Amino acid sequence: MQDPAGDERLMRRIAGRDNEALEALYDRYERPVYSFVFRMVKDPMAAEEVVQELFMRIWHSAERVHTGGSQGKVSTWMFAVARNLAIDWLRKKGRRPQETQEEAAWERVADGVSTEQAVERRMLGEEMQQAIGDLNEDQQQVLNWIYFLGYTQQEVASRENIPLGTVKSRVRLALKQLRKRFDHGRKEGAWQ
Amino acid sequence: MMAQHNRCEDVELYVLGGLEQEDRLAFEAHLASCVHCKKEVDELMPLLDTLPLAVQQVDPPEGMKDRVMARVFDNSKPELGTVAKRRIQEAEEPPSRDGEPAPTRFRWLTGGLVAMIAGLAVFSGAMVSEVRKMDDQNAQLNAQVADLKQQLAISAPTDATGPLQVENVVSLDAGTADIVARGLATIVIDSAGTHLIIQAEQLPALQNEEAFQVWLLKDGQPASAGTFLTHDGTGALYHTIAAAESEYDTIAITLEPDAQGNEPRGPIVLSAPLTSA
Ligand SMILES: [Zn+2]
Repeated sequence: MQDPAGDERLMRRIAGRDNEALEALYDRYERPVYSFVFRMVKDPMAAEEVVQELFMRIWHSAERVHTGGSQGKVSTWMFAVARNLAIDWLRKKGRRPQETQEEAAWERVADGVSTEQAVERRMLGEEMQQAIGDLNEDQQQVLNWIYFLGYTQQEVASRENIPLGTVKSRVRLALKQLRKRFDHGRKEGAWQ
Repeated sequence: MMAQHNRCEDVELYVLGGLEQEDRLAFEAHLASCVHCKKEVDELMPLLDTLPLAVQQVDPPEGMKDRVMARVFDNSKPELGTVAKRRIQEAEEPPSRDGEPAPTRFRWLTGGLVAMIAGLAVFSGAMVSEVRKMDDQNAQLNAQVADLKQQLAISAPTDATGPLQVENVVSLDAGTADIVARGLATIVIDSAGTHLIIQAEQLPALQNEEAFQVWLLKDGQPASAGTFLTHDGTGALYHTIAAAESEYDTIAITLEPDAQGNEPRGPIVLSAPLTSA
């Protein structure tokens, strides 16, 4: 994300059982990870449980996490694990989040995040939000169902009564467009 | 094959995490040998670093950091964490307030595992389906097995004639120092026979035709218990042990050049002695 080398260093210290390093990593990611998980499970208690489990896993398996190069970054790994844990929770509960709860009254937009990292992260997030907003409605929907709500291709097809091939092509087009947008951004230095 | 599945078309769904386990495994096997898809995955990966940021940022609950950190640093053993501990305490307590007798909880847990095993047994011919089921139920199973083991340990002969018995739960240790994998082997007995459930994570990445193979050994003689592939280093296998071959003393997982071997050719990744329960 913003400081992959710093994250790597923290992970190595965490592998060496350095409490402070885990706290530092937590401080870096508390808000974005919580927000992401909350977006998936739509339940503050559940979101906290998932974050809890994520950091439990980081603490206990930091030495086994191989990142860097084609393995991806620490942050990529963390978000992937968080997403899997959130999907586990959703499946265990046998329920799916209600789209309409998205704008719950008690949900407050985060304030006062002022570190350089947080600002950059927010900028990237907003840019991505905008890029997603520019996708057509069909593409936005499949991206939401699959990535943010954790449905599989088959589940989307049967739940929404859309042919498998159509789900697949919408995903392909969506990612292709997002990539084009961000490849362009990368050249201008806005990416990474 | 009637319709040849063009795996290259699955690359975006794979990256996004939208493939069913069966397709995911098939795609990973494909990925190992498809230069085009490897390149695509590499190029799509950075999107996954930004996608999770594209959500409304919300304030975490008050005091979350303190709670999370306290729990993490308090629990040195995540496998038998707070849930299992709580179950032991509950089991030691007298019947609960509403008069529900203690054994009910035990049967309920047992029932859950029985149902799962029964579900798996139905698919005994189709490994891929089992692996998918295993994956879905992995976390749940881990918790259940841990709970069940605790329950069995403390309420021992209560349900001896019941339909299912967890014979043994062993954690698998890495074969060499440079391997970081870990795993859990659960041996379960029910009326249909003896079942072996393997779950492993942080396994080394597979190349080309490589596969992990599970072996049951008696006096150094290995018998194959099947092969499995992995996703993000995590894999699972379910195997029914014939009654006549249940006297094994060791279980081992090797990294094999392909899934066709009758005897181990590759290095041992994980292993553990099987002491009888
Ligand atoms: Zn391909």
